[in-house]
Amino acid sequence: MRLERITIMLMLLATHTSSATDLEQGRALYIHYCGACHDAGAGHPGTMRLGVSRDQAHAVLTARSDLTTDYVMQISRAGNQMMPPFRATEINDAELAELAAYVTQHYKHTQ
Amino acid sequence: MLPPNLTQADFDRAMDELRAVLGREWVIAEDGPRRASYRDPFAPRDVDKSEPTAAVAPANVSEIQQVLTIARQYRLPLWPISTGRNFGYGGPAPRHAGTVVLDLKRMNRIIEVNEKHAYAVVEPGVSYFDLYRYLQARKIKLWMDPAAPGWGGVMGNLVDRGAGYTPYGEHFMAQCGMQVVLADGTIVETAMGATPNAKARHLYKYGHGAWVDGIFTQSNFGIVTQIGIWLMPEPPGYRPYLVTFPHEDDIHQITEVLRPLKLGMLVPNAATTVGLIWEAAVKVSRAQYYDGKGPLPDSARKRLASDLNIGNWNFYAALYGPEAIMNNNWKVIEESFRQVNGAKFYFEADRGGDPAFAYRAQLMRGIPNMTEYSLLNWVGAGSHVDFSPISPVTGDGALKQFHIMRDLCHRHGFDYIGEFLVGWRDMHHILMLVFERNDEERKRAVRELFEALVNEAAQAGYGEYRTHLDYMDAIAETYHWNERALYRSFEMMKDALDPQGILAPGKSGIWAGRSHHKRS
Ligand SMILES: Cc1cc2nc3c(=O)[nH]c(=O)nc-3n(C[C@H](O)[C@H](O)[C@H](O)COP(=O)(O)OP(=O)(O)OC[C@H]3O[C@@H](n4cnc5c(N)ncnc54)[C@H](O)[C@@H]3O)c2cc1C
Ligand code: HEC
Repeated sequence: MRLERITIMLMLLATHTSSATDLEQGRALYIHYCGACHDAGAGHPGTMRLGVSRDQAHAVLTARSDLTTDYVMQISRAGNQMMPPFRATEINDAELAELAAYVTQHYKHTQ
Repeated sequence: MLPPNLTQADFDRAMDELRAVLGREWVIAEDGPRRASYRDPFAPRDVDKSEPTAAVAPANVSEIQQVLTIARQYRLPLWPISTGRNFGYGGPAPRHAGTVVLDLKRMNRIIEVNEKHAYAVVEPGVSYFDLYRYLQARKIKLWMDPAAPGWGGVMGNLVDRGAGYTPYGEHFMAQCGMQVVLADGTIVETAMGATPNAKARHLYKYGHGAWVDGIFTQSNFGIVTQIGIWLMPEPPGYRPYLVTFPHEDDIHQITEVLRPLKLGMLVPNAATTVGLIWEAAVKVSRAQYYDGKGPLPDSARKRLASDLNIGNWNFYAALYGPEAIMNNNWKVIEESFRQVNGAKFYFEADRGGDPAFAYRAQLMRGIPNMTEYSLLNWVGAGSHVDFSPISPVTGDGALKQFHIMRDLCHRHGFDYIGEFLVGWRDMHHILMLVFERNDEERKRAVRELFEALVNEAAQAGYGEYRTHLDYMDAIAETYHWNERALYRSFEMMKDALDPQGILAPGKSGIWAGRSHHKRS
């Protein structure tokens, strides 16, 4: 399946720093695991909740400039209040790093 | 917590042997977030206490067999999960914390999609999102049927007998062909699959002889490793609709009107009558309407209904097929519901920008999403457990259940957040008990409420179709006709198929080593 292929590519890329390709993998993982809750607009529970527990300016994850990769990795693995955690069988540690790189850096590409 | 009757030294040895088979990465026995991710984050009690002793993740059937060999040797209990997103009923956690979760998520192959005969064959780890994207990428004109949260999976949801919203919404009814690994390591293909080189493995459900697929659902008799699932051919037309009703007690007439429409298949899909707060909570939170304690007062309910242009009940279903058929069916459906005073009718174009209509419209045509999770935002950082009794499709039944459950919720200080889902001849009444996850007082109240619900529903003759880990024994006890004959037969099967009781101890209230017990 596609995700298995992504995993293999990530292992090959693991020694590199965040290149454009890495962000591409991170983006695929974001779309697969996070987007349904965190994309912009109505109908996304993560965005809806963060609009209340934070504020509207911090509601959309990928538009934020204040998130660190460590924080994103920690929340994804441990969960956070309404958000259940993701197990290593869903997103392994290497994938988590790619995902966090994408989530934390995406705002630069939207300004 | 260690498994019962296992010393630390034996447990450590078992883990080492498992590491030799699966690799270190896939034996998760050490303290830390990797293991903590197997807790039930929504447990209506101490979440930490739901953390299992370990998790192991085989990559294929042969690794499962090797894990079983070790488990039998050490009497290591294993709790199989597929996608492991069973939130509301326990998440990925086992019934008893001294159990090792057998996480099958890595087995995530879509083995076959047969466009001609409209079915798919999947492994445990395939989520609804996975299958949907697979079909989309290949432009396959088949629809699948997701549960409301798209991150769940075809197999895990099906073997827990979950439901979705297309005409294939009763998931187990659409299942055909199953591969199961028994506790002794034997691989079984059920039904037609038992003929070598089977040609109709996923087309005819029953084969020859006893039909056993059902005993591997909501049970602990085997580990399901492959499943065939029928998919719906994309119809030439699709038109989702919403009918709103103004009064709480309209549920009586709605249900009476609906029964012949469902039996006659004019409403072919899972027909869902959604309560006011369920419908509203996808869009707003409680604090915006009321900051007091206890259930939402009537004045706030009225504002909610008028602000959001919704009813006390909101009926969702869809038309499928060629235009002419949809038009004709709609005439009958509209006429029927017009009998209820104050009924209002909406199609997609009338509800632009409404996330509730939008996600239902997606679900009823098999597009997975996560919108319904927004319900937990009703009380802030919410958790929930579900209470789900089955009722006949009658006005009296619906009204009675609604009154019992609403009144109990209110008496215990909770809002009634419920919906009625008519499959065919039955109604699943789903009550979402949403509570503040950081408030011990509310968790205690939810536990008291749940016990009261189980008892009152049982006394009124209603059994639950599925339940949270913490209530499996309690619900099992309500199925006690003829001195527990049904559960005694489960116990005989359990002891025959898994004499050491290593598979999913306590699942659905089935425990090993009890078949010799005297009648109740
Ligand atoms: C907001 C919300 C809405 C929901 N809406 C719905 C809904 O519309 N319909 C619905 O049905 N549910 C619903 N649920 C409940 C639940 O979250 C889903 O049913 C979910 O799909 C179950 O998780 P899963 O598919 O990952 O199954 P899993 O967690 O993988 O499996 C569920 C259970 O089945 C057993 N099992 C799993 N795999 C195997 C196997 N291979 N062999 C043997 N036993 C196995 C295990 O006991 C396991 O705990 C909802 C929950 C929430 C929070
Ligand atoms: C079920 C929907 C859901 C999914 C899927 C989901 N989240 Fe969340 N997430 C939430 C919610 C809800 C919150 C807000 C929690 C709260 O405040 O109660 C949140 C919060 C967060 C936060 C904290 C933001 C802050 O301001 O503190 C991060 C980071 C995050 N999510 C990352 C992710 C990533 C990365 C993924 C994908 C791997 C993901 N989430 C998937 C629902 C989800």
